[in-house]
This record gives sequence, C-alpha cells and structure tokens, in this order.
Amino acid sequence: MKKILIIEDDLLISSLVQFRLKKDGYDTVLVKDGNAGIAAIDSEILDLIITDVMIPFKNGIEIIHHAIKTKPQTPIIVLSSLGEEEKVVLEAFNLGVADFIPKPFNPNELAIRVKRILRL
Amino acid sequence: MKGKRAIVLAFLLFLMAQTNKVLGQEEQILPDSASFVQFLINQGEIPGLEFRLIDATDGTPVDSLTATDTKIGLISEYTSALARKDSLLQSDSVSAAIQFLIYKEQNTFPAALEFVSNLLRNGDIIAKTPTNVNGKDVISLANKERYSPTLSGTSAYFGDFKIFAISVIISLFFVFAFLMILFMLIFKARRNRKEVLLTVYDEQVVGPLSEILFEKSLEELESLSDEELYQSFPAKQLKKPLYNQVLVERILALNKKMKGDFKLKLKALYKRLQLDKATMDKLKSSKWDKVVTGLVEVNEMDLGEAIKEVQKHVNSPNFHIRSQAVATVLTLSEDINLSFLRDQAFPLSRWQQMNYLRIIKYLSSNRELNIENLFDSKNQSIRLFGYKLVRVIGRVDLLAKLEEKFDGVTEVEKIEIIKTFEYLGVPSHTELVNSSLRSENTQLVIMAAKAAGTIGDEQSAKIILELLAGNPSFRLKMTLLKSLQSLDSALYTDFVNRDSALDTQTINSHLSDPLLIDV
Repeated sequence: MKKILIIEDDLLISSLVQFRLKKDGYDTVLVKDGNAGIAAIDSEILDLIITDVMIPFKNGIEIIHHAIKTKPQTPIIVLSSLGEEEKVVLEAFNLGVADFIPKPFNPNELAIRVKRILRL
Repeated sequence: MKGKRAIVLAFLLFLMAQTNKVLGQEEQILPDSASFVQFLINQGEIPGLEFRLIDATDGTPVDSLTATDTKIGLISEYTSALARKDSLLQSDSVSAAIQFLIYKEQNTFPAALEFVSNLLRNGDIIAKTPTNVNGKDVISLANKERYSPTLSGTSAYFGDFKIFAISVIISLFFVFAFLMILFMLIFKARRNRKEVLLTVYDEQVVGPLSEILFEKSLEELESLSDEELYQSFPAKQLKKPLYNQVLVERILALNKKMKGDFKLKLKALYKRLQLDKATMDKLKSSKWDKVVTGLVEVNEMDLGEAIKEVQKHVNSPNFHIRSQAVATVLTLSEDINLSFLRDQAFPLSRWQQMNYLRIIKYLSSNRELNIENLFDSKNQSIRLFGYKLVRVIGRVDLLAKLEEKFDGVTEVEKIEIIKTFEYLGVPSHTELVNSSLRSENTQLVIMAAKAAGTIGDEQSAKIILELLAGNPSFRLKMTLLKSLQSLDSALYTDFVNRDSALDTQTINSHLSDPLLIDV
C-alpha cells in the first residue's frame, strides 16, 4: 500500500483529502505543521508528499527544500491558495515539485492527479 | 468678570455666615436666666452690678440698713441679696423682690444679663469655677475608678459612625472582589468549556461531512430521509446552538475551498439540515454582528429566498450591515435595476466602492446592469460611483447620457465624467473638455487639460495656449504643456522656443526626456 504524507493545518481540508485518498486505497500520514512534516519526512518511507504553503513553524517551501534534499525520489504536490504570491508558486516549481493544485480545489481532481503521479 | 464677582460675593456670604456663627457662639456664654442666676451666685461681687430689695407688691425699696453694704440699701453680692430676701420673708412676711442696678441705675433682669455677658465677653471679669461641693479633686477621684466605656459591645460599634462606615466600605470591597473573582472564574470556565466543545464538535462534524460529500451524489443527498441524515448528524446535537455554529462554519469554510459539485452538495446539505432557518433568524437579530454573520451565510450559501429580508438591511445605519447587505443583494438578486444602490442614503466609502465594483464587474459579464440609474441618485457618492463604473466596466453606450448630465452636475462630478471620457478615449465629446478648460475651478481645469491631451481638438490647443499665456501654476502649466505636446507638437515646440521662462524650460526638458516623461 502506497503511503502519502499530508501536511495541512486546516483540519477540515486535511480530513477530506485523507478520506478521499483512503477511499482510493492509500495509506496516509496526517500532520498539522512544518516541524511535524519534516520529522515525518525523515522517519517515514513515503511515496508522495502533499503540502500546503502556509503552515505553522516551517513554510511549504522549506518543506520542499528538505524533502528534495533528503528524499529526492519522492514526488511532491503543493496545495495552496490562489491569493498567494506567484513567486512562491514559481519557486516551488523551480525546486522540482510534481504538481500544484490551487484552492479552491476539487478533491476528486486531486485524487486523479495523485493516481497519475504515483503511476509514473 | 461675572465669575470673579460671583466668587467675591460667595466669599463675603461665607464670611457673614461665619460671623453669625461666631456671634451665635458668643451668645451662648449665659444662655438662659437659670445659668445667669447660678453664675451670679458663684461669682460673688461683679463690678458695676448691684442689687436692691424692693416690695414685690408696689415696687418701693425695702429699708434695711443693717443688711445692706451701703447706706442707700444697695447689696453688692447676689447671694447676700437672696439671703436678705429669705430673712425678710421669714421675719416680716414681706414679699420682696431683687432689683438689678447697673452703675446705680435700676435695670431689668435681661439688661443685667446682657451687661454681665458683655463683661465676660470683653474679659473684664473672669468667671469663677464653682466650688467643689465635696472638696475633692475630680481627676484624682476618676483615677481611682477602673475605666469602663459608656458604650460597649454592639452599641459601641453602632454608636461610632466612623467605625461603622469604614467597616461597611471594607466589607463592600471584599464582597466586590469576591464577586469579581467568581465572575472571572465562571467566565473562564465557560470559555474553556466552549473551546473544548468546539473541538469536540469539530471532530464530530468532519467525519460525517467527508462521508456525505464523497459517498453521496447530489440527488442522493437531496432525497435522504431525516432518519438517515440524523445518523450522521444526530437530531439531539442539531438542537444545540454551538453544534450548529460549528456545522455552519465548517460548511462555509469548505464551500470556499472546494469547487465543482462539492459546492452544490454543501448547499443542499445546508438546507437539508435546516441551517438556512438559523441564518434567517440571524438576519432578524438586534445584534449587528449576528446580522452580518447571517448576511455572509446568505451570500456564501446562495440563499435566494432570503433576499427580501436582506433588502431590508441595504440602507442600514450600520456600515458593516449595509455593506454586506448591498454586496449580498448584488450577488444574489436577479434585479438589474440597481435601485437599491441608487437609493442609498449614506455616502459610499472607497472600500465599499471597491467591493461593489468587484461584484458588478463579475455580474456585468453575465448581464447588463442599469448603471445609468445611479446617475439619478440623490447621493453624490453614488452618482460618482456610477461614473466610475462606466469607466471601469467600459460602458461606452452610456457616454451620451453622461454628456447630457454634464452641465447640471457639480464640479467634482464634472472631473469624474471628464476622467471617464479621457479613460475611454472617445474623441467626440471635445466640447465638454473645452468648456471645462475655461472653468474657474483649478482641479477641473487640470483634469480637462489632461483629457485634452487624449481627446482634445484644435480648439483645445488654442485654449491651452491662451491659458499658458496667463501664467498658470507650475502643476497646471506642466499638464497644459504635456497635453499641447500630444495635441500639436508644432505648436508645443513653437511655444517652448518663444517662452524663455525657467519653469517652461524645466518642464520642456522633463517632457523631452524619455526616461522622465511618465514620471
């Protein structure tokens, strides 16, 4: 079973995403802040990371930096609001994230993108 | 001056009152006849005051040389007069009375009292203390007695007003302090309980919400029976306002972050759970924050049936209610008339204009709104907003109406209309610009001069040259020269070459510099 790390401080969003991904048969690890996210990246064997940009303690860009440095093979999906600065999104893509999903989003669309990335 | 006089008058009145008080105290030396008689007995001889015995019936002096101090029957001490009077009564059965003489002149009892009082007051005589009948020292006697207070126990406590008052104040202080601590503890406990309940309800709500959104289609959701619905969201919980609040907040938050059919499902669920009724109740609340929350909920959940209730708030005196109500009606109402906005009694703030503009701009892509209705508003800020809308939305079809209005509006509005013409760049309305260039309002002339550069004609260039000849201010001159340069570069060059004024040359060098031209 493939394992996905979800880093999202909004309980409702993370629960919805977790619910949807579990429905598709994935194992999920849910954390609410950047520090816990980095700890999970270091301790878990992950197949995919889904992270928000604006999260407590460490932002999404720092998480991406850490993940690419320590787990370069693990794909990353960034989940973020459209209102956030364009340069942050560009920076995320430059770092090599697999996908970017702007909020508001459709969880079914997220599930399809996850499936596609994990099949590659 | 009046104040000073009043102060002086008040001071004099105070002094008079004080003088009365002092005189009143002086009159208390011998307050009554009994004390006067007792004083006479104690005092003995008083200079100037003498006594004589007279017959009580006819007032003739009683002749008794043996008992008197002088040969004319005058007695110097009151006690002697009293003793003589008693002896006469016992021996001769003569009813005698004591007559008072002041410096040998016969006087009445009150006159004698007044005389003695004056002597005492002036310090001419010193009152003798009465002789101790027991012949013992009162203080030494008192020292031998063991002290015991006159008032003891409860009567001592209530008898002393100051102690009683202080005790009451201290008691009240402790009572209030205790009540405050109690209130804070209760408040904190309730808040903590609320926070705990919010977390609990949050967790209770997330699961069923996710399940319904992913497991049920929109049709299935709408056809769910109450029993099925209550399995996910218990009826008992739905009766709790805090649970409902959490549910509403979560559905609204999801509605903002989700898209596609999830939005429709959330709206259907909102109505199935009858949360829209709670929203309607909020609109009728007397608390402004609740009304605003209700309006936000109506807006977010597209509760079209609430539009009549929302319309009641569009002219509310409360800024937040009014702003949210207008935004909600703009979003939900099918009405393209905008009469509710036209009839606004309160001026529009810049923030409100931005907010409404965003909505109207979005709506304009779907339907054509009657923005021209705003030009007839009695509220100037609404009319100005209408002119801005023409500009921002690009309603060129309304320019003719603006031209019709132009002569009858205020100069602030004229500036806004010219700005609109300039922005839309329609060159058929040069007459407005040219007439405004001759206005006495500097701001209007500057705006017209700026517009002339874009939509002006040969006539505009001539007027600009006339204005430049009149030595305008630096700012106006800069605008005029910039417009002239756009309108007719030959005229501009000719003017600059002819006019050697320092500011003209400075402006010319600025306008000629490709890096500075737009600064």
